[in-house]
Order: sequence, then C-alpha cells, then structure tokens
Amino acid sequence: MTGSLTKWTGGVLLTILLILTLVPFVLLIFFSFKTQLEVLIDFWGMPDKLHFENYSAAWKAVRSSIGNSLYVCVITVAGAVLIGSLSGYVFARHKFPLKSPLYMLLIGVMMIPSLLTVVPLYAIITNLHMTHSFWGLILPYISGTQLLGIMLCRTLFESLPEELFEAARIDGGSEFYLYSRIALPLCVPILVTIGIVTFLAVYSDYLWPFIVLDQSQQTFTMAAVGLNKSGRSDIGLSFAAYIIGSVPTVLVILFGMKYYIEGMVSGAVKS
Amino acid sequence: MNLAKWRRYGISYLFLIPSFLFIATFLYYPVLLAFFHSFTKWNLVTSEWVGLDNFKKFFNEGTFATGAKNQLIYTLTDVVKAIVFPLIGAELVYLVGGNKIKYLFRTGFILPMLLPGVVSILLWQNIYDPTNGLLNQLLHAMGFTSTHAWLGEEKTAIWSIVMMGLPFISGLPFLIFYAAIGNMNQEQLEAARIDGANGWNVFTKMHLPFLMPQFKIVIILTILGSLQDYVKIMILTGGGPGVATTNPAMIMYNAAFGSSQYGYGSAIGVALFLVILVLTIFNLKFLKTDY
Repeated sequence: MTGSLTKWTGGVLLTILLILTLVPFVLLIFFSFKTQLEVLIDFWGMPDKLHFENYSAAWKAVRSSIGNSLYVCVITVAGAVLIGSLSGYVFARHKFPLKSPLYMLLIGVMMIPSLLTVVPLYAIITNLHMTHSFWGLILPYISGTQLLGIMLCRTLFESLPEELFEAARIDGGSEFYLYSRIALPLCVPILVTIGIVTFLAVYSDYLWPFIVLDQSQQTFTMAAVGLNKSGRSDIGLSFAAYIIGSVPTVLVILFGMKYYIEGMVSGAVKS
Repeated sequence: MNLAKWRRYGISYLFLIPSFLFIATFLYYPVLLAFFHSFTKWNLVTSEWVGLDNFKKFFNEGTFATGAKNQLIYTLTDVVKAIVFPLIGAELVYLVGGNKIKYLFRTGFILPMLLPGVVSILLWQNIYDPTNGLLNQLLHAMGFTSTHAWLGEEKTAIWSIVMMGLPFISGLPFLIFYAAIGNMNQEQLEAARIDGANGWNVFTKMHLPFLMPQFKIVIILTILGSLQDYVKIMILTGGGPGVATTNPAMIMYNAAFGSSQYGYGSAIGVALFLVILVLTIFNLKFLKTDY
C-alpha cells in the first residue's frame, strides 16, 4: 500500500522533472513555426499556420556556416582517426627504446587544460598565418583529439593475437601493410566511436572558431550566436536555424548512440 | 643483426612522428610560451620582461575578488547540480519501474543532449530575454507586473546563469548514476527489503555507499570543469553587467582577446592551471578516482 503510494508520488515528481527538462526543447520547435508578429501579439497562441518560410529563410542564413563546420569536422575526424590509430598501433605491437616515456609524454597532454594554451596557441596560429583559415582550427583540433584514438586503439590492438601479424610478416608484408590491412579493418567499431566523439566535440565548439575565424567564414556555432545577438528581431527564424544546425549532431548521435556513450564514459575528449 | 634491430626501431619512430609533431607544436610549445610570457608584456610580436607584475596585477585588481567570489558560487552550485538532481532523477526512474517506462524516461531526460551545447545556451538566453522571454511572459501571465532583464541586472544575472539548465538532470552524471544503480546487486537489495528495510533505508545505507566512486568522479570532474567554464558566461553576459558574472577564466579571456594584454592573459592562465594541477594531483593521490 505505502509502496504503491511512493511509486505514484515518484511518478508524478518524475513527470514534472521531465516536463521541465523538455521545456526548452518544446519552445524551440514551437517558436520555430511562429512569425515575429505572432510572437509579439500573442506569445502563447498557436501559430495561424506552420510557418515553414522560417525554415527556408533560416536555411539561407546558416547553410554556408553549416558547410564550414562540416568541412572542419570531416578533416579533423579523418586526421585524428588516422594519426591516432597509427600511433596506437605502434605502441601496441612494437618494442622500441623509450617506449613508455614517449607514451607518458603523449598521455601527459591530458593534463594540459585548453585554458592554459588558448592565448599562446592564438599567437602560434597568428605567426603561422592561419588565422582566417580553417587550418587554424583543424591542426590544433587534431592534436588534442588524436589522444582518444591512441588510447582506445592501443588497448584494442594489444588484444589481437600475434599469429595474425606473424603470418603476414612471413609473407613479406611491410609494417604499414600490417597496420592498414590487418589492424585497421579489425577495429572499425572503435574508429567509429572515436569519429563520433571527435565530430561532436568539434561541431559544438564555439570559442576557438570565434577567436580564429573571420565572420565571413563562420562556423555554425558562430552563426547561431550571431543570430541571437542581432536577431532579437526574429525568434522564429533563429529557432528554425538552431534546429537546422542541430540536424548533423542529432543524426550522428542517433547513428552512434551506443558507440557515443561508450566513448564518453571511457574518457573525456580533449579539444 | 644490430642494424636490422635499429631499422625496426626506425620504423616505429617514423610512425610516431605525426602524433608528436602535432602535440609538440600545438600543445607542449604553447605551454612553454604561456609560462614564459606570463612574466612579460606581450603583444604577440614583441615582449618585454616584467617579472611578477602580471600576477601581482591579477591578484590586486578589484575584479579578482569579484571573480573569485563568483567562481565559488559557480563551483558550489555546479557540484550540487551535478550530484543532487541527476541522482534524484536516476533513483526515481528506477523507483517507477517497468522496463518500458524506465526506457521512456531515460530517453526523455537525455533528449536535450542531442543539441549542440551552444544551442542550449542560446535557448536559455531567449528564456531570460526581457521582452520576448518565456520567464517574463510566464510572470506576466500569472499577474506579476514587474519584469526583469534577468541577465542584464546586477542582482539577477549570476543566479540566472546558475539556474540555466533547470532541472539539471540531462547530462553525463545522470547516465553514470543510472548505469551504476542498474549494476547494483539486486538480490542483496531484495534481501534487505524482505528483512524489513524501507525504501529510505535502502537508499541511504546501500545505494549511497555503493555510489561513492561515482560521486567522487563526478565531483572532481565538475570542479575542474567549472574552473574552465567561461563559454557560457561569454555568450550570456560577457561577464557583465560590469563584472557581476565574471570568473577568473573570463577575466583571462577579456584580458587577452578583449584588450590585447596577452602576457597578462597568459599569467591568469598559468595561475588557473596551477590550481587545476593541485586539484588533479590531490585527486590522484588521495581520492584515487579513475577517469
């Protein structure tokens, strides 16, 4: 009796918490279909019809920025996955002098907060003439995000049986062949995890693009913040733009939900 | 024989070159620069040695006291938000029971995580908007006549930032607690219940001790995260009005990228890094959380 009462109270409380959690989410969708006039005149009212023109206007406003973000993401993911897995392979399957100090040197990077490096990194990027260039984002991103790849790939490659590699070596396979044709294909799920975590970290970053890039080559997060600053004039358009810009992250997360949670729990990504 | 061995080593080192080139150029070299230039006046091209002046300036300036006080508020509330609310959420989901319902609630709570973080911040900025914000409209609809520019007034700004994300369940801590509770020994819990322990006792005597490792991880990660969190402040208020919502990291950003005092900014970065380092070492030595 008391048990079912507790359950009932818990259920009500939980439902309230869930509704509160979802309020911003619902607002986002609701207002993305209202015109500015409807917002001003009747804040709570339903839109007279679904104003999809908000979406076409928003698409025009943010499509190039989404393109820029995707460009940066794809190159960073490719770089981080390739370089990370290559080093992961070496640390897993090779014996060489200074192996463990070198590994510590790599892993030690995780002790460096971006807070400490943001100012000098800006100086380096400036001196390399990479401000106003996507490479000013991509190269620093790869440096930090490769870490997750190195750690996860090392663990996985270490678990592979030596016979696999021995056989290929006897057949005259080069080290690069062993890495690219034997090790890599066996760890596709891990590579996908690394790719997803990297993609989400890079796509959501606001600070570094804001510091490095020009307004004319802005990423989606820059465009989104810009809309809210200048765009108090049109909530419907801004909200539609946020929804459009969130599509890539939603797709990536839905595609890799399982991988993503695994990767997040196993180690915070650096960017 | 020896030659062949060194050839093999050579290949290993060759494969490692890309990784090390990247971390040397974009991580370790900036660290050296940060430490060096924390003692200089620096405009990115030329620099002039000023000794400890930057640090003295940082600790003596009026903004430091405000920033430190605000940081304390942010950190304490961040820890409460990361522990209490996600834990209540996770416990309630298990209490309500039924696999389908559990799944439904869990999915609902993590739904906002689908959005990029910046979009969530911008949504809250809209909620606090003085004219078209949900909060003022809600107060208006309930009959209150006074409205606030929540993020623009000195008294309300910092608490508006703190309350962002209400009810604070959506996020990694919720998933961690949820997974941990699911991994508890169900037979033991059942046995306790048969022996007459009520729900509250089971929660305080069995759940809480069992979750201690998770609490430790979440607390230390939250503290470290909160010291480095200024993007949200930057977007919502820029540290203002005045310096009402600023924190040390925000002061660093404004010094470097607002007024081009790169040496001064580096010094604040170094000071914050030392705090983070001490906390990290303390954690590794005494708390021994594994993350």
